[in-house]
Order: sequence, then C-alpha cells, then structure tokens
Amino acid sequence: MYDNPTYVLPIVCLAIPPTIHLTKIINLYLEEESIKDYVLLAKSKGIGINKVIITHIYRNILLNLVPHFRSHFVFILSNLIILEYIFNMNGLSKFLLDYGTANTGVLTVGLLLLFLPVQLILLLVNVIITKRFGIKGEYS
Amino acid sequence: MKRSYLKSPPILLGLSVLLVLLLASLLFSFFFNELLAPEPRLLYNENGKLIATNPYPPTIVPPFGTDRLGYNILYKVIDGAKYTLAMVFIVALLRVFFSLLTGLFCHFYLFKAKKGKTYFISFFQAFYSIPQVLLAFILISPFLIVGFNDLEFFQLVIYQVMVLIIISIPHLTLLIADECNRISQEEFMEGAKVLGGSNYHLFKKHMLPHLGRPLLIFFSQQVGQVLILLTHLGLLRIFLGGAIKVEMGNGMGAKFISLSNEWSGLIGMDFREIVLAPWIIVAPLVAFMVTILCVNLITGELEKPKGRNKVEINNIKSKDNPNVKVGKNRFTFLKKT
Repeated sequence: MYDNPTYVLPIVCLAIPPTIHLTKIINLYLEEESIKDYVLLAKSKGIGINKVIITHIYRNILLNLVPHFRSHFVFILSNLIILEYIFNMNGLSKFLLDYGTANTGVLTVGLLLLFLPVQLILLLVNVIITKRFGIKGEYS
Repeated sequence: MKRSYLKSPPILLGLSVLLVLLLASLLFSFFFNELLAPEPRLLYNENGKLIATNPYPPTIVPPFGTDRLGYNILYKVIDGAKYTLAMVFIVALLRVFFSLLTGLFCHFYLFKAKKGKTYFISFFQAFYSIPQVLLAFILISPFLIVGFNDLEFFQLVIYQVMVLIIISIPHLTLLIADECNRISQEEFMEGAKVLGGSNYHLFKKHMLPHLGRPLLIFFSQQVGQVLILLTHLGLLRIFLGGAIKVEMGNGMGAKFISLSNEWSGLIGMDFREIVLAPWIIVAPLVAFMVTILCVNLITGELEKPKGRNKVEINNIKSKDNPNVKVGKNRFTFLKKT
C-alpha cells in the first residue's frame, strides 16, 4: 500500500487553479464574441443557444486561447514545484531544488530539459497557426 | 482621479481591512507583547485530571488554538502581520519603481537602437519563463546554510528583499515599456515631439499623467504575486530573516523556527502538522487568504475600464413643462391626457 505512487490527487490539485483561470478567460471571450453579427444570424435562424455556443462561438474563440499557453505553462510549473514538495514526489523540480543550488551545471541542464521541449512545441504551434490561418501575431 | 478610486466600495473595503490588520499588529507589538508567551505544557481540570497537552485545539483555547510549543496562534498571526504586509508592500513598490526606471530607459534608448528590441525582448522573456519560486530559492538558499555564509539579520533581510525585487524586473520592464509605447503613439505625443520636447519633458509632462493608472494596477498585481511567492518560499523553508533550530523536548527532535512570526514562516514550519493538528496552519492560511482577497478586490476594481460619467436621466426636466420629469424609460409623454 505504501509503495504505490499517488497520481489522482496531485493531478487534480495541479489542475484546479489553471481551470479557474481559463474559465475566467473563456467567459470574457464568450461575452466578447456573442455580440457579433453571425451569432445574431444563427439565433434568428432558430438554432438553440447551446448549439450556437458549442459549434459556432466556441470554435472561433479557441484560437484566442493559444497566446495564453505560455503564461499557463509557467503558472502550472511554479505550482508543480510546490506540489512536488508537499506530496513528497521525487520529480525533476524537486531534484532541481535539492541539487540546483550547489551545482549550476545540474541547474542549467535541468532547466533546459524542462523548458526546451515546451518552447519548441509552442514555436511549432505558432508556425502552424500562422501558416494555416494567416494570422500574424505573437502566438508563443 | 485618486479621490474617485477611494469612493468605490470594493477598494475602500480592501484598503480598510489591510489597514486594520497593520494597525492591530503594530498596537499589539507595542502594548500587548507579554501575551506572546507559551501556555503551560499540560492542562488539568478541577479534579487534577490531565485533559490536554500542548497543541491545544481551538475548543480549549479559542479561536485558533495553540501550536506545539504552546504559543497562542491568534497572537502569533497578529504579531506577524506587520512583517508580512510591510515586506510585501515594500517589495511591490520597489519592483514597480525600478521597473519604471528600466522600462523608461528601454523605451527611450534601448528599443530605439538597431535590432535592440528583438534581442532584449527575447532576453527578458527568458526570465519570464522560469518560475519565480525556483529563481528566488536558488538565489536565497545558499545564504541560509548555518555556518557557511553567516549574514547578520538585517543583511539577510536586505538580501532577500533584493532578490525578490530583481527576479521580477525583466518581465515588469517589458510591461511598462509596452505601456510607454502605447502612450507615445497617441497624437498629442506627436505634437509634443514636433514642438521639440526633450525626452525628459515628454516623460514628465505627457507620459506621467497617463502612466499613473497602469502603474497603480501593476503595483496592485505585484502585491498579490509577492504574497503568493512568499507562501511558496515559506513552504520551501525560506523564512524572512532566517530561522533558528529549537529543541522540542518530549523526544520530538528539533525544528526550525522562523525568527519573526511572519506568516509564510508560520505556514512553512508547520505545514506537516496539517495531518496531526490542522488548526496550527489554518490561522495563517486564513490570514493569507483574507489579504490576497483584499488585494484582488482592489486590483479587479482598478482594472475595470473607466466608463464615461453617466448622465442622471431621472433629474432632467422638460424645458417647456418643468413639472414633468423624464423617467427612467427615457420616453414619456409630456402632456398626459
């Protein structure tokens, strides 16, 4: 029993704050989008409000969420450091806290391992969005 | 402009709660300092029977109980409030101040240089990607090793404050430079430049009046961020002003105790107690929650776009017929028959 690693509780704990944050952001975008003309048209054609939100509005605001990836990633990561400490998980950020102060090499490599893949993915998403939708903006 | 902020109820509420906390803490340390003494280790009832030992639950010592050394937690939290609040406000204020200086420097000189903008923005954004907790921990913790880098109490506090300020400057600089850039694209800036205003003149006469509100918002946001950063650092056993090792007695081993009763220290040194005696950690957490809530109230109110002053429709009277008031419906018949 004591050897079993815990998964559910840490993951749920880690997910709660970004969920609240994202809910707030999506709510803002929904309000902004729902006064546009195509929503009015869809409503006037007799489509139910749930269907309008899910198939029309939600699709259009999804792209707006991409710029928030980076800040959420940082937010989750800084929560993860504390979470690993509280739940006694021996993850990478616990390792960085334990050995990073004494050894800058460990710190550098650890941070690179942590950030490089995610930054590369964000860059890729940026390129794809620019190519696919022709939007030029800071999507990274 | 300032006066209108003070009139809005959320800001008034938040500010007054914070002020009351600070005043209570100051008064406590001047007049009621002797209350901060440990309670007796064992508690007997009238018949001489042992009823409780040292972490007394809130039912015996209201309202928050005592901790493992017998100190009343309510008094500890009130005593610690002044350190936490003062620290947080000083750090946030200095963060905004230094970032204003660097932001203006970036706006007027660095970003105007050839390719300067691209290079410096990527440099600053790198700082943003690394969690502040990690940076602060790595920079502060070497100075907490006993016997290795022994600093005086005030040296340590100043070093910690400096670290907390410096780690946020790159990101805040970018934000302030953005804000300056936004203002400098307004038309009146064009006019001032054509008339030959120097950079200092442009900043003082034309930018500063418009920067006030964003700076206030940044300050308020930073207060919230510093509070959260302090809790995180407290959990990682980084206390303001260092810690001392205290033998617990009763065969419980030794424990690090924060020198000031500062809130993040209270949380950090006792958070394992949440399994055994949850009330020890509840009081500082509640204090933190109340403070963060107040700060967020103020921030949210400041961030709201300022609407134009609404004309009170109710009081408009018809010119021809002064007896008829135009109601809320905006449309009334002047001559009702």
